[in-house]
Amino acid sequence: MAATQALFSSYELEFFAEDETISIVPNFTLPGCSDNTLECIGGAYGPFLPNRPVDVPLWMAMALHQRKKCRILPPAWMDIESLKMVEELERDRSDAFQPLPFHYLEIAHMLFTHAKDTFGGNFYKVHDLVESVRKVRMTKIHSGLKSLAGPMTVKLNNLSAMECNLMRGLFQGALDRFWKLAQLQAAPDAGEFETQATSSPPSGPRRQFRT
Amino acid sequence: MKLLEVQPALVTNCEALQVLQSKRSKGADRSRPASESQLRKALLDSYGPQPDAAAVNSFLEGVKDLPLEKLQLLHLVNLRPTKLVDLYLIIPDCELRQGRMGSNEPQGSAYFDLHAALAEETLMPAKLIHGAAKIAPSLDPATGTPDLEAEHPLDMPLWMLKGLLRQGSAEARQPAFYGKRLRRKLKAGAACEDLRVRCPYFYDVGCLLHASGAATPDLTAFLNETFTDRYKDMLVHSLGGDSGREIMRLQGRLSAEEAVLFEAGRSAVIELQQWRGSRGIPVVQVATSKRQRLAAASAASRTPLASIENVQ
Repeated sequence: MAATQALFSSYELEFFAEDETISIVPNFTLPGCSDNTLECIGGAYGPFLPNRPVDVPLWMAMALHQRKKCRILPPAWMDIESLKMVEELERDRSDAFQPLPFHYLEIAHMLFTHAKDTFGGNFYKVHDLVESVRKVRMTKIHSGLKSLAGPMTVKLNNLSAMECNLMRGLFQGALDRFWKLAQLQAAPDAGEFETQATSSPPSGPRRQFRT
Repeated sequence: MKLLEVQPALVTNCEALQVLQSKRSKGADRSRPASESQLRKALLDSYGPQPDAAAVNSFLEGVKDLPLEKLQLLHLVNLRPTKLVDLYLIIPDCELRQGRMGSNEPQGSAYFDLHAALAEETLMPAKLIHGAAKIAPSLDPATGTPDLEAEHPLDMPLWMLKGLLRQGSAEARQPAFYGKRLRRKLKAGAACEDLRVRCPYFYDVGCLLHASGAATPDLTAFLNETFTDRYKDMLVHSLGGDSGREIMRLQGRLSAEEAVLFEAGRSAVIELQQWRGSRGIPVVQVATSKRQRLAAASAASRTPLASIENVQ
């Protein structure tokens, strides 16, 4: 059986997460650029006017924040009330995951380490809430994995990138192994050539993760 | 220079050289771009003055029935690979296709897999139906005679057994690790059994036996049940937060295939923990039950939060 799929490293997932948009409040203008907008390969970002919120990718927000040229506004899902509600719903519904941004863990980690002033006085509360949401989801994933008993199609909605990456090696490998053993039962009289033709597992179940 | 049409057809190097030769024969023209003469020189070096169009055609005729794409045929004709490695570079998933084309290679995709090769080294009890003449000392050093008589029991590696089964000169006997005693034990408690010591390639050996037609009909059900139970009790713990000692104890009992899965889960967890702990904020333990949450909230409101964290 071929080796299990290579994982993304967490740093690579963080890199992918940096493409997500976030609101900032700049304290500079770009008098040289037309309409104070920055023309980049990825698109046009702006207009950068002082004290006017603007949506930029996270990598740009981080870079500007480092140079003290902006104030990052916390994203809507990181509001204390909405996080509390998400946590309650996660605890109540043990069979489904609540919709959260795909890269919520990476975004939260980056904001917590590099842009603490985003949250003002609420920093520790938000940090605790994100942690508890993460833990509840992990227990749900754990119990879901335990219930796997064959090469079945498992529906896992609203799973985030980090959680997918964590499960990927074990989950895919286990599904492949289950599939291989089930193939033996399905074709009891198969000779060598038949088993060869079906030796590569189907790529169907892998598509489930991204909703 | 302006592109009139993007890649209207695929042209092999031989044909390109022929075109260049015919152009040249119309008369040397100083206004030709330098790149053209460089190209002609390179093609001449690799093909010689007379490219053999007939050979290319006969090659294409010969591989007509194989499921190769146009671009791959072009590469094959241009590069003319002489080594197996070059063939693998041109045609991806070469060994999978080889299996599909019905060659004699068993388990096409597993040909280069280390675990598959080691699984085939497992010693299996078998019986030589017709015996063996004059090679007894190398097959079974315990016998004193140079010949082995018919129906002689012999332990042989799985690859040898597969070959002899195909010929019909050997008969497989049930190995101890698929025997009644171990089946009873595994049925009672699958997670307690140390498969590494019994047979490290427990499942792969079963699959190979089944493929050669030498397995008993209940073997596949037995393998399925064992794997399901062991997955639930042992492999899922690789993602959990168990202590190092527990993990080591679990890992010691896994078969080689299960160990691969366990390691995949474990390395993902370790990598994630490294990333999360790598920059600053120590993870604050969050209570999980409602009572503990209330207790933590009231405790937190009493102590100043700044003393808990060390802000970087």
